[in-house]
Amino acid sequence: MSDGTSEITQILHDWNSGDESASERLLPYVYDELKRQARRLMSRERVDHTLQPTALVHEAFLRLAKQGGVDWQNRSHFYGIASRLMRQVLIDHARQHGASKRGSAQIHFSLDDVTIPVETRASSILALDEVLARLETVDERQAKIVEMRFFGGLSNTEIAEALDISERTVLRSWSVAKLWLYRELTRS
Amino acid sequence: MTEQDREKINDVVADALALDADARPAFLLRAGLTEQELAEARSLLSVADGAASILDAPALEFSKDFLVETDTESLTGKTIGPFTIIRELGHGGMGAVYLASRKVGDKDQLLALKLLKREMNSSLFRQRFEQEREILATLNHPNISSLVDFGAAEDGTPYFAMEYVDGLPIDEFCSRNKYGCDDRLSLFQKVCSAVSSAHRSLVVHRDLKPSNILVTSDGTPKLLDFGISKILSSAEGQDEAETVTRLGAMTPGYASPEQLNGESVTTATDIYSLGVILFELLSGHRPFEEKEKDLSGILRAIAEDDPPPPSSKADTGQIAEKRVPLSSEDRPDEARTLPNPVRLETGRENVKEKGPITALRPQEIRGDLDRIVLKSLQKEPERRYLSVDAFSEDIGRFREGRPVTARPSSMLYRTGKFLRRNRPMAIVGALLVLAIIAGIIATLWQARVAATERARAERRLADVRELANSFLYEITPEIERLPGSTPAKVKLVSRALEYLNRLSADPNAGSDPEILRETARAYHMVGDVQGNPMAPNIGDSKGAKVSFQKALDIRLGLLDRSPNDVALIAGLADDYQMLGLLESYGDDIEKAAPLLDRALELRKQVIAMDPADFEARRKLALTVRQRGYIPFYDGDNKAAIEYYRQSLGLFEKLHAEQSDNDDVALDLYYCYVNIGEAQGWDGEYKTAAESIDKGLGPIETIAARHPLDRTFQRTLGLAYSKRADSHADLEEYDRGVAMFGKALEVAKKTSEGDPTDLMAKRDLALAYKKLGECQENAKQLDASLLSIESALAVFSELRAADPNRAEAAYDVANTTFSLGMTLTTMKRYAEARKNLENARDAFAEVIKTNPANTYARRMSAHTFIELAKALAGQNADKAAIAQQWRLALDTFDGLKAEGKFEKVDDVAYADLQKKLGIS
Repeated sequence: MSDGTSEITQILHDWNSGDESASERLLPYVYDELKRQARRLMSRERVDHTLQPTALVHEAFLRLAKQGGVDWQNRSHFYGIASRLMRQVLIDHARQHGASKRGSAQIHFSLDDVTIPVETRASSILALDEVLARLETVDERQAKIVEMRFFGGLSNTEIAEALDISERTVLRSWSVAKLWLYRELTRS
Repeated sequence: MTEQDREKINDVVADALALDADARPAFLLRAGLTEQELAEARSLLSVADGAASILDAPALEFSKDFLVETDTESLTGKTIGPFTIIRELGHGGMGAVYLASRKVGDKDQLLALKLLKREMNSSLFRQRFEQEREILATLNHPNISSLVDFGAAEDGTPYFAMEYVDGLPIDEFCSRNKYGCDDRLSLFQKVCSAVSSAHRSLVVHRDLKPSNILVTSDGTPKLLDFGISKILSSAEGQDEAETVTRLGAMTPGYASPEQLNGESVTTATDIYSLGVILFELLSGHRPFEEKEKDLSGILRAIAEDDPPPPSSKADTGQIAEKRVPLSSEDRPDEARTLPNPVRLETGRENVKEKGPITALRPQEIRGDLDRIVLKSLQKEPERRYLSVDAFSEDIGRFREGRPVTARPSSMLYRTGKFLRRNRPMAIVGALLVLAIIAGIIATLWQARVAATERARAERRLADVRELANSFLYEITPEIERLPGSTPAKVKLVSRALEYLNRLSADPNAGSDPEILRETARAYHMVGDVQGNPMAPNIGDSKGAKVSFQKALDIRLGLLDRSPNDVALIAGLADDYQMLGLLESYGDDIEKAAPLLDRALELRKQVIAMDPADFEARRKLALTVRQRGYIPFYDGDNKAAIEYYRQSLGLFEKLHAEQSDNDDVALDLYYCYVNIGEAQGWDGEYKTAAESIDKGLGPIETIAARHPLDRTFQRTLGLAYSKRADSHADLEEYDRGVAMFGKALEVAKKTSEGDPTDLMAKRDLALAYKKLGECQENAKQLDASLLSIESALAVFSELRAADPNRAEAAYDVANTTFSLGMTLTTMKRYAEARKNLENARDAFAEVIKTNPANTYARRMSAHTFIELAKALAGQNADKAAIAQQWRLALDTFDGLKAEGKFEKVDDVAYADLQKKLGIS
């Protein structure tokens, strides 16, 4: 990562000064950072077992911003990107784990499901990814909210800020999006 | 569908979600949607129940298992011998277990294939691995997963194949199937029969835990993983692998004390682990679950702590919500990294239903089941069940409603043993016994419902008696006077109250005079611990009052039925005495006298019924002395002395009868101290010193015989302090400082012995204060300031600890006054004035709460006088100074008008008159 420091600095500067395309160039770095941190968290002793994905995204942001050495204003924008990247990280891992999208009509995304076999979980994530991609075409904002909340672990307040909508709208969209996703996932 | 349409549907659906499900259809109809939109909205809402809980956990939390990189290459799809690996089922220390299949005829047979890890393929581990295989080969039981085949892979890695068990861990199985008590016990007995069969083959499993006991869908438990099991006949010491894997391999939550200590492992080890499993099946928790977070904690707990009865761990709600979010670190070892394959096979409906681990309700476990479990969890292997069969048989007895062999007498035995071995440990024993009494009693009332339970109920009642008596009369006195016992008492009190309240809430309790009697007695004891001012207590005077009052009410009720019951009358006298004493320490001393008078009356009644009753006579003597405190506190020293002398006479007779009774002797000699103190307040300093000296010498001698006894030490400290007072009164300040120093030493030692003993703390504060005041008079000003500041700190702490005790507020006011005085003497007028003003306000507060507090009124007069001094030091104007004098004089006059003026204040009064030009 250290090799990329000056590159990151440049990208962050560009982004900060309004070059939106810079965010695309930043993606690989953010991705690496998230992956690195996710792995660090996973391999940690089981003392502090509850992961804080929000914290993870925040931490990734802080590290990158620090490396960039700039006072970065685009925090909420970053959260949106980071959420998308987290999604990407998780999907990649799920694929690596040999999961297939088939045979995973059942979805288990609540914590009650901790005993679900890893394979099933990985498949569930892939299935969700696919359905979420479809939701993007139907209702982009709903899909974005799901991405930020579920994959990014962002709070409703953060999502509201990032998307410039009210928290109430976030909540309402979230509950309807869940209905849509669940229906599509369970549709045989 | 356009974006606007979508938006509209979203809005309507979101609104509908906020409504009850019943109200939604009507709402949708009124929402003004097109047919197509309506259909979509309905379709979305139809899955509302299922969708509600999805995605609640963040993806990262959900995905953490597959985020972990696996460093071993996957064997999936590879062939080992005749087997094709399907996937890994789990891995332990030495090997991994795979689901594998092989062709048998034209059918695929599923098997669990255990492979030694490649890096473990050394002779040491191979030997161990082969031993496991041999063990499995010798075991043949329907509830043990059997050995099917064995061999070596092409690269020489040894493997063996076992029967593949398609099931759930036993705890989860019970939860999923909502097993009740009897079903759980029956299942557990089957496990016992498997373990017992292994034991008959001289095999000890050594790693029994729920994840090693899978239950198939037809309810058959299968014992797995003899990976660290041991053949008993193999000579000790030769088993090198054992020493290597000992700590790493076992599961601390289920390991026995001897296993952790590295002592010899026998069948009793499995009995212990089975006990933990039964504990968990019943209560949903392991005995030391909260300590499992760190290894050293759990090791210490297993080795030293008494396990709680499982009923105390069971949640009171219908479903014990257990470890759902905790689960990943909850099980200390591979139980978690071993995602049970079976769950995949069991199909989605099971997976879906997976909720929290359920357990039984505490009342289902209390009593015999608690005892059975605790017997299997005894620290010493020889005190557990002698065999797994005996364990299982006892469970069978319970299921049939017959008496079990796990008897409470073993508790009593243990308690006795604790007492001999280690006195502080007795406290723990007492708590345990109390918990069990509570459990038994609760069960008892419930058990009464069924006539068939009658016999059991009666037996339990006898148990309760036995245990209650042992608690009340043997254990409590043992810990009563021990240093450091106060925190244990706090626990004791809260447990006891819990149990008493449950008992008094039970409608059946009112019908049984025997139990009411015990309840009253227990309330009284609880009151003692909460706030008996004559004994080490936890400073909860308000709680103490309530408890004593409850005891009193119960006993009064009983007295109606048996008016000539001596024990009852004596108990009532105790209740009245305590309530009176508490009032005399509180802010309404008027209330105290009638209570103590009633106590005296009852005591005399008891003695009239049995003139030879020594204890009754001793208590009478004591109560008489305490009755004297009321006039003493009220400033009537003569009346106080009269009571003290009467008490002295009674104690002298008692002492003549039992000269070796140190309690009596101490009380006798302390009467002299009381008398001297009152004489001192009356201004007869010389007589006072003589009186106290009569008592002090013998008290020193007696206290020296009981160096650890808090009551004796406290009395000694008080006697020193009173003697020092009289030195100070006689203006022998240097001797006073020395004597107060002695008092402080004693108080320090007592208070340090038990920092939670508030009475000891007050003694300490008083000793500091008096020492400081005497130091001031002895012209040791710096030392004085330090002492008084120490006193104020301790008093403030005390007031915070028990704000209900009026005395505490008075103490703080009084010490603030002393501090101001010393500062005036040191000519630090500004600081002095500030403290004196604080003292003035504090006294005003005290007097406002209790206008009858003579002391506070006197002291406030003195505060005005000192304030005048400080003002003069600051060169304030004459009018301001005179105003303080006037306030002081008025206060004294008020006291005079009520006949409460103290002789000691004569000089101050005359001085005020002179200063104000009054004659």
